[in-house]
Amino acid sequence: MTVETPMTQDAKQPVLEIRNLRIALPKGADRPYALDGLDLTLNPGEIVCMVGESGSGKSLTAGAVMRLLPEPHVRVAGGDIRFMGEDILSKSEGEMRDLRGNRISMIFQEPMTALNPQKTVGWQIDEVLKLHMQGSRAERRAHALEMLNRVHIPDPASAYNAYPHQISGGQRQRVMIAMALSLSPRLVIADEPTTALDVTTQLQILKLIRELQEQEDAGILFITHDFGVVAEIADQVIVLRQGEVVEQGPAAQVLNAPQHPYTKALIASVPDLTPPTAKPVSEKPVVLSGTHLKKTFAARGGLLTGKRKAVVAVKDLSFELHQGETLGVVGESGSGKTTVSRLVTRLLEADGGEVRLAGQDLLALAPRDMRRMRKDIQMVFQDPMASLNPRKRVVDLIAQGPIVHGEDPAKARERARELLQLVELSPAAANRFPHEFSGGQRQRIGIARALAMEPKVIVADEPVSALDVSVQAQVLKLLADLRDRMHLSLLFVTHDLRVAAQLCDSIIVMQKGEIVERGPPSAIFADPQHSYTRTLLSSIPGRHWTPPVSGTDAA
Amino acid sequence: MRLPMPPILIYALRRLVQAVPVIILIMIGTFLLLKLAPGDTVDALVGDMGGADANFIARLREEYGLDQPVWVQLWRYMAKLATFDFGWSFVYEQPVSTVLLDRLGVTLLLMATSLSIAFTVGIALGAIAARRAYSLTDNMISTLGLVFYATPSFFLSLMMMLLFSVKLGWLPVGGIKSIAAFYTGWDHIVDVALHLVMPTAALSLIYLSFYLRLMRSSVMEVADLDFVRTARAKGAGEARLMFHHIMRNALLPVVTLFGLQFSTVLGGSVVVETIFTLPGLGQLAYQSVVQRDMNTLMGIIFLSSVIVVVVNFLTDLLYARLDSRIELV
Amino acid sequence: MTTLDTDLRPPEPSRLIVFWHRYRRNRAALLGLVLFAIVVLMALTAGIVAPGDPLGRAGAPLTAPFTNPETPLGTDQLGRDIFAGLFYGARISLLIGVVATLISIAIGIVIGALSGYFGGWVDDVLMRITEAFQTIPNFVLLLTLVAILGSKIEWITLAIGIVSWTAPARMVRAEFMSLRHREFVDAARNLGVSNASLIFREILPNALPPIIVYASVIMALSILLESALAFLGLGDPNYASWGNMIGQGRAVLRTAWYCAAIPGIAIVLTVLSFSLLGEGLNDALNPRQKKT
Repeated sequence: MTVETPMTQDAKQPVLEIRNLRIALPKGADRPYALDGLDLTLNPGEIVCMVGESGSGKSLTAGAVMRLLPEPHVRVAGGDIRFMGEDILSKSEGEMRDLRGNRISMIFQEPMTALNPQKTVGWQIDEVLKLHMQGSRAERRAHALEMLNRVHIPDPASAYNAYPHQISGGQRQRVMIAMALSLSPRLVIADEPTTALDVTTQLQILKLIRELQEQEDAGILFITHDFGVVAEIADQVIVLRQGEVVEQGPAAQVLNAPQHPYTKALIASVPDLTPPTAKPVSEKPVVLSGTHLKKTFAARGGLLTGKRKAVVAVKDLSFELHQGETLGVVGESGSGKTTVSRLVTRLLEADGGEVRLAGQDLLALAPRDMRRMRKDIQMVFQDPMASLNPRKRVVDLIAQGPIVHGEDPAKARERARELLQLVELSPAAANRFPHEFSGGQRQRIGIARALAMEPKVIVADEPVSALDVSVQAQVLKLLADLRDRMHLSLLFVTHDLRVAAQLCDSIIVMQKGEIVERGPPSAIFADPQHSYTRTLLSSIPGRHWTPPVSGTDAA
Repeated sequence: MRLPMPPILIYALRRLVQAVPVIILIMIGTFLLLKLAPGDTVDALVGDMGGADANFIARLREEYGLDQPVWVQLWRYMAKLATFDFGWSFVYEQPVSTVLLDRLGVTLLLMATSLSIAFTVGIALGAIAARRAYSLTDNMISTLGLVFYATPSFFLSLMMMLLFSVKLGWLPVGGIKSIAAFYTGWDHIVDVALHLVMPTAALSLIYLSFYLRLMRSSVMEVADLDFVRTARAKGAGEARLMFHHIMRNALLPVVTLFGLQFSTVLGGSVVVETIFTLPGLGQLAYQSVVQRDMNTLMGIIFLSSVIVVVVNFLTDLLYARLDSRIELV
Repeated sequence: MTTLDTDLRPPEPSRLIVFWHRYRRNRAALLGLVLFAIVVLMALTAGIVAPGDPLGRAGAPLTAPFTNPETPLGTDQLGRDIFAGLFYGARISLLIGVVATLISIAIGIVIGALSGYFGGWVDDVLMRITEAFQTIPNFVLLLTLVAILGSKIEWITLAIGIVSWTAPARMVRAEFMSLRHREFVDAARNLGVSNASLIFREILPNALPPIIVYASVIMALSILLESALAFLGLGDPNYASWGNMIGQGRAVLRTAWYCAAIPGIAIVLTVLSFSLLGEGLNDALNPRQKKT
């Protein structure tokens, strides 16, 4: 990792200087200022990472620099922003329009939604050129094609004529980058540019950003929540919490010797990549097994044609989960890992194969018998926002399962209150509705709901991927504790290798519906056999960095 | 895809295959429904003649096949319908198809003028209102939209008649052309246009308000999307945002509504044509119901269903043209 | 230093209060509520304010408004009191509006829920039927139904319900299709909840807000449909109806335009109140759409 010492030549003017920036929130918000007293200096050829959890005010900083805040509700209330020495805040809207896309440009988080679905890629790149560059149509086209080439898009000419939905997520992000860099801006603001991408794509995009930045000598303000990404790319780091800067400095210093307790806690929440030493090979009985599971989706083709082309989500998958252990199902999007969790719980009907739970083949059961068997295999879902019925009180959500299975409602509710304590929530939570809780709290409620059935197996489908990293660590810890105390067996679906390393006793790695590798994490991480596993492991952002204070030993 | 036929033809054929069962369903349903009605064609005929003896009535029934079981009658009717034979109108003493064709032009003209006005003015006003959301302009446009929406077309028609025909004498009170004038050429066109001003206004204002309200909320929604923010970050100005990024995306739900609502607009022509005594299908529908001319009524239902199906097909094509995510392959 | 995630936020006020606060923010919606209350009040007090038959002769024919305190809004060509007609007409409009809306929403929910929840051939069959109903111009179907069933008020209400269920059905279907794959539905299914409970206890309550908002639209449309029928002389002749009053007023439009104008304004205001009400409900029930 390169850490640049402050430039010696003073001739190099900072690209961006922010002094004491303060952004006001509308009345009635949870705090008066989204951002309070931010100082920042960004030199050419430098990447400054702004790190913070959701609600820390990091994205609004980007809005303020671009002068694209949703005014008048959210506005700059004080301070000074200078771009190449010029005062940004005093510029007219017309002058700002000349700067945007030209000398200051931006890369956004969601490549899916950040491009206009109705215009071709070429048109959208051409728009920047048309707005800021004098040149004939042919010159602009040549320039756009060259940019597509520079971001390593295969076959730029056909990408130029493609619509955004016709190219992959990673390529869309490359297009965004091509668009942002096409006029050699001095400042690029990248707002979580890799968060929506798979880990292998993420690394490619990070490398690309680095590469182009070195060619152009631009300054990059890089916004992220992921310390792995920070370790990968940052020169300077600013840690934000609730709109206040808690720590800032060179990347090596902040990452390896954090000073502020909040930074320490955040870094401690990043799961370690080195798995704990392997437990002895399990002799415990198998509780859940899948054999030769298959699932093919008949996906719709063009909306008007009704032409269907089949997508194989899972082909011939077999696994065994031992009593009291955790089996991790790891893969990128499209690997079929989520389908596995749905097949096992029979929320999706498999095309073939068997799922045996305590000797019974779940897939062969009649619907009525399946409903009865469901108490033995429970699920914790990915999205804590969507997995709780918003119109039910927490106590009813937790008690619902036992009541359906014939438990006396009063008893079930009493038990629900006990379970709330078990997942470390106050009993006062019982009578509230889901929207009154934070994401992590909702996920705790989801866990309590699963536990209420006293299941033999819990299937957890990316249970922490929607949570901030510090909350993530707490929920993982709870899950591990409960598993050990209650002898639960866990089928844990995740895309995050760090999480899998810490929590799982054994792992299966999936690619395109197939298992490419399986074994205990210590073995897989130390000596991956399959090339895909190797790519996956070498793509983990910040893999060379070991978080200094190892606080959470989840497993 | 390499196919010998152009994609649009394949698509049209597929839609046709889908539409046929729907129309058959409609015709069977209507036929059975009308059989439930008290009195049949013969009753209506006999009523017109002022009574007849029982033998004659029975003979008439036999002649028209009305003595057969319902399903035989249904089969015969559907078989004739398959050859576009709608039967005989006893009120107009003509084949139903002749009556329908006579009336079709006026209705299509009324539909075309009202809908194009409603659609273009509606989306224009909706877009303006959305870009100036919560301003005085927006409030005025939105209030106007609400009032149009709440005004029944027949009431609006009467008030317009009162003002423009009775008080001011600017516009003719009804009909499609001046009967005794025998205009030709330009004069004829101007004459017809004058006759259509009020019916068009009466029919279009309520739908104009629909499109206006939907367009306004649609534009506001699209304006909040990520790609509009991207365009802003590229340095695009407001006009550019509106025309190149927002409009086309915001139009999609409006086009959908247009397709879904077309049959309602056609229904609305019943009232308007009746008030302004326009000799179109709507007025014919009203008269057939009142005069119990069942063959004509069935014919109207068939013809209007076909028109609706065709218009829906055209709106789907327009939608596919506007939304590049949809491929007609 | 990181706050523990388990600390609860302070409790939020009850849903009803939140609802009212959001509703109240929209001033036009408040106006709608007031107008609506007036119409309801008119319907309730018709018998007290104007006792006697509203279709009976109350004074000299074609008395102008504000000339005779007995008939404050004048009389029509048969000497019927327009003021009384207005009050009794409110009754009919509201009655038909409410009942027809309930009928159409009920049909719409059943068809839409089955179609959206089960998909597959159930959806195909039900959607073909819906399309058939949607393809026939609704007013033509309404005329046909009234011609067959007769002009009694019960039948008219039923007929209006039958011609207006397709839009709510499509809407419920769309809601169900998007909700049935939500994780909370999977979660409930995974607890062993039956299909019927999933439809009615898990999904339906979440699908209701847009349906409630749309009910105000159907209510307005039902009133418009009824008045159009009555205007064409196909309404129930035994009840005073605004549409009928306008239809009668048409004959004397040249001399006594108020006969048509007064009930017309009543319809406009009533329909207006419903759409304002609908907007207020929308703001209150789907708060994410509004940013002020």
